[in-house]
Amino acid sequence: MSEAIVITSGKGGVGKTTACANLGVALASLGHKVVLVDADIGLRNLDVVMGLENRIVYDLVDVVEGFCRLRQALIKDKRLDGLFLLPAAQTKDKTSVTPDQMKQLVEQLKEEYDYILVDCPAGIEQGFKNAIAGADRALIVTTPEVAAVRDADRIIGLLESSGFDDPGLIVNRIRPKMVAKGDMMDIPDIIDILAIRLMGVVPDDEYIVVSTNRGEPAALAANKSKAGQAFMNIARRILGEEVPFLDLNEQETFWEKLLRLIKTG
Amino acid sequence: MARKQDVIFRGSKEGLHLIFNDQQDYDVLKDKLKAHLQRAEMFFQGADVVLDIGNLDFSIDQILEIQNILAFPHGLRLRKVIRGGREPRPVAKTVKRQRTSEPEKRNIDQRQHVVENRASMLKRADTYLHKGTLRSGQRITYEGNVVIVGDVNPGAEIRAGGDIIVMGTLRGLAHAGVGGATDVSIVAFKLEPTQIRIGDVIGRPPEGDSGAPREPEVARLKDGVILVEPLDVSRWEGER
Repeated sequence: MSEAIVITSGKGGVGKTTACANLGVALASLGHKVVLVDADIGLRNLDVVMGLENRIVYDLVDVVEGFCRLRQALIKDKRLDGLFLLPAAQTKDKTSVTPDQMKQLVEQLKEEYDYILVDCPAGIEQGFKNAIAGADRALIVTTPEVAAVRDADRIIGLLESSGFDDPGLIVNRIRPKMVAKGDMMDIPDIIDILAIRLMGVVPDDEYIVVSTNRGEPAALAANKSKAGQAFMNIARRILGEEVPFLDLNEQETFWEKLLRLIKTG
Repeated sequence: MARKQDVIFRGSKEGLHLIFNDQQDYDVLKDKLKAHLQRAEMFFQGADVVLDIGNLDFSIDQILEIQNILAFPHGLRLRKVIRGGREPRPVAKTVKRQRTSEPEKRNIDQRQHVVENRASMLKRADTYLHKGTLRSGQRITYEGNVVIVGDVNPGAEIRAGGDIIVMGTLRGLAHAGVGGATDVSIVAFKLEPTQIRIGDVIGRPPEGDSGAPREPEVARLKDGVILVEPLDVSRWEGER
């Protein structure tokens, strides 16, 4: 039974595309057939984050307009066997596709893939409507910022009125030290406002910046970074496993320990 | 195209051909022309125009008015008024053209005329010159050659029937020989494209490429494979 999941947020820059790429990698490395669909027509990024930009020949709009067959537009990942990408068009815009066409496309992809992850563009306009059109469930990405949570709340409302009943929440880019000091919203605060199921918490991690720029999602080497590990865990939760949440409290470095001892001593 | 457009600009050897739909009212045509010019503002600037009025009857005043619309503020010069279908006299002069010109469905005579025009144009290897950086999401499509004076960024696309020359860094996608020509090449001061295509062959840089050398390079098709070499101008000329 295959499932289409839309990854959305309302606000831009919270990590939808990163989440999409990493969850795709994680699900595929757990042995599932996965296709990532970039619905951000005109501002495509997923191909870059996946490191597959230079392999694009046809794109989503070409498929929808009948310029090519779906199979021709799908790019096979260079590392994982069961992972594919359907890139967005860059020289078009959101109006090139209708929700009905997206629905058809996703239905077609379901025939062959276990998981279809749709990377939703920021905003609540046509791009958003297209992205959610074919999806069975939604994952909402937010960061621990008031503005991001506000937008996530708006999105949850819109999703509910479109018939999504149990969206999951991913809190991205959390900084445990700031939370501990009370300078950053913590998870209970966010859950209190949004009142949806928590699917995972991803720490702010410099490794994500590096891996994103290199086009090698962090989940490819999940043991190398906490963020990669966190995405791996979210993937397993998507599959229905019970996975305990990561302990995000960082180990003190030698210098931090020294500094603390000096201060208290 | 299913619907006949009211105002069409088409490039020719003589300059821009402005073709009016002869089933339309003068006032409608006038407004459409204004709107069209506004959209394409920079693109047409300074071009010579041949007005093709088809079977319409224009008064001198109307023609003067059109001349005015063309001239201010767009700086186009009305050179000649003709009735559709007649072959424009060949004049050796290169002009700016539209980026894309799909053949419109007019009468058969005219369509033939367009085809002839295209063929001769390709033979003469007409060139579209673009000044400035081509950014992500921007695309130039042209039947002849394309020269970019500036960079082509990732996510930008050039599709040319002929050669492509980038006087800057080519980081985006360049497709030379779109109609199937294989004796075309892609030249850039710095060639570090996302992807290049020549004819039907698609090439991408090898994984982990350490970037292009600091010299102009040329990409060509040899035995069905895209080959990138330093640009040796003398040899390049010799081959052509």
